[in-house]
Amino acid sequence: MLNSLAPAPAVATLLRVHAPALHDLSLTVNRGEILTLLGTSPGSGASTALWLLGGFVRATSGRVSLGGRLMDATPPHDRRFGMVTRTLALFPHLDVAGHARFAPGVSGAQADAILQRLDLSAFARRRPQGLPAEIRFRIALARALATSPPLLLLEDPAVALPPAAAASIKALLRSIAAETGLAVLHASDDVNASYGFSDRIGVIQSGHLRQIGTPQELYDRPDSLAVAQTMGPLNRLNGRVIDCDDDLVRVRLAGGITVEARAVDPLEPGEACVVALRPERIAVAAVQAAEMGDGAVPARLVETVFAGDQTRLRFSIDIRGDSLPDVIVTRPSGAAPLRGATVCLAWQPHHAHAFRTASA
Amino acid sequence: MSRRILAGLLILIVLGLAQAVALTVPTALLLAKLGASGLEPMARAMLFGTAPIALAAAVAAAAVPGTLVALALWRLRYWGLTAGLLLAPVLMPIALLAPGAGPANLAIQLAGHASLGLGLGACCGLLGLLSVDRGVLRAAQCCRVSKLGAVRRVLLPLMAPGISAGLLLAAVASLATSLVQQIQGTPATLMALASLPGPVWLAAAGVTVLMCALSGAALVLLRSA
Repeated sequence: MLNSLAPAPAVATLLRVHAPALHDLSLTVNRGEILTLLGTSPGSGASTALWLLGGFVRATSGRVSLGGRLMDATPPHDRRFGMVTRTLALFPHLDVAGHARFAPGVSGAQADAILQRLDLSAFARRRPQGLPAEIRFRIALARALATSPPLLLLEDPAVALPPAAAASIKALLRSIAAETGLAVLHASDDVNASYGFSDRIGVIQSGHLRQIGTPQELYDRPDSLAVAQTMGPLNRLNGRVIDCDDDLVRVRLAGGITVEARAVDPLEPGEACVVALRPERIAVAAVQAAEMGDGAVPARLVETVFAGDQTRLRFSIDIRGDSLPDVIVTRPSGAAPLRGATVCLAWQPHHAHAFRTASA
Repeated sequence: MSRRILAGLLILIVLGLAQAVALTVPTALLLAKLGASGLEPMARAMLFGTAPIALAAAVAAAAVPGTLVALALWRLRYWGLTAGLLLAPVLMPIALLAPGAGPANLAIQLAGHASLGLGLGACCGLLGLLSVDRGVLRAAQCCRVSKLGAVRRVLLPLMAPGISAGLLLAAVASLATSLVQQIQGTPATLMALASLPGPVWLAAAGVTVLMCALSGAALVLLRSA
């Protein structure tokens, strides 16, 4: 049944965009892959890349190529991309089946197949007005996929849908991509919406592609502080490099506390740096820091916030004569130290990332 | 669906009648007060001879340029003031007050009827697009439909009810204007094919433009509210 939806075979879809808002963005989206362009802030260029590829935004300079073929002069309807935007842009005068059959050359059987695959058969004669948001999204998807495009340009469904519906749509898209080899280029500025959906994520900041990789790579081994901050919550501790050993550095924090971290940027002894730590990577031990030895940080619990499946603990660092920002630690919900308890914080050196202060 | 069309038609008929009454009753009362006589048979024949032409001009203008203007206004996004100005001939049918005599007078009258049709066609056509997502053209193009094809297959069907309403309104308004001319005309003015003096016509046109500007401003304010 799904054969009629299968896109034309393609090993990879190479997109190359160069425009003032985007600086030489080159991407390869493999068959069946979902690649997310994650913007660090509004105006970062993630959506612009989609609009440029779709042919709806004209670059004031630069070029767009697909698989080495220049696309600048190709009108949108000849680019053969499917696209689903945030607003969905459904046609009020057509019923659901009409949307699936809208593209030229789509047969009734093909339309029926896509409606069945997207669980829309029951709504075939209904118009989109008044239907639930998730069904409306599926209608837009059916319209976009009816032509079996090799690449789907997708703006974040989470913007238009409640969380449960967005999760359902993403699961559906993942299964379609796996079954048909559909490549999906997804633009989002919500990192949580990108985890679990994307095979790879490309972080875009001010039109520059900062880093691209699997979600875990970007989360655990960010190339820059900007990427680290984009991919999830972070504790930042300022310090100065004492010495370097391969990719590890020893850093003296304020108050004379010494910690170890993975050096992301090339760092020299004496250089100012930022040590970045994920909240869930920090261990909390109810012992004195002196008992733990080098790398342990004395702290005092000042706040506990229950957040459903996890608890956020805020610690102040116990040092005299100097100041360090509070450290946030997350733990699965359950027993937590009492407020005011004196504890010791510690982490594996490779879980902390040291960045040059200038790159922050 | 048919119930909606019937309701729309009913509203249009009521609006058309209301407009006809609004145009004719004050004039008829004025004529009764002044003791004006009825039309000479020849003048009546001349007027009825031009009414179908005027009607055709109004309907044709509502259908084609009206649709194009509606599309342009939708694309430009800024339609309030323009729509108000386009409706100027509805508020004060300049065709009725056309100065001059002979072919020039007839040309102005026809242009007046056409402008009436254009304004109604454009504004009614635009109404069908106001709530439409502007991304529909892009969505259609992503389905391998050209831009022109997208306009034909998406926008025109959405505008169709509005355009139909515009055509009907233009026809009713044009006939109503001709009817007013018939009632208002005196043997002296009609036989000479003359109308209001130039300065009076200019003053009326000025008031019309002012009213349209005010209505346009009101539309803009309502839209931004």
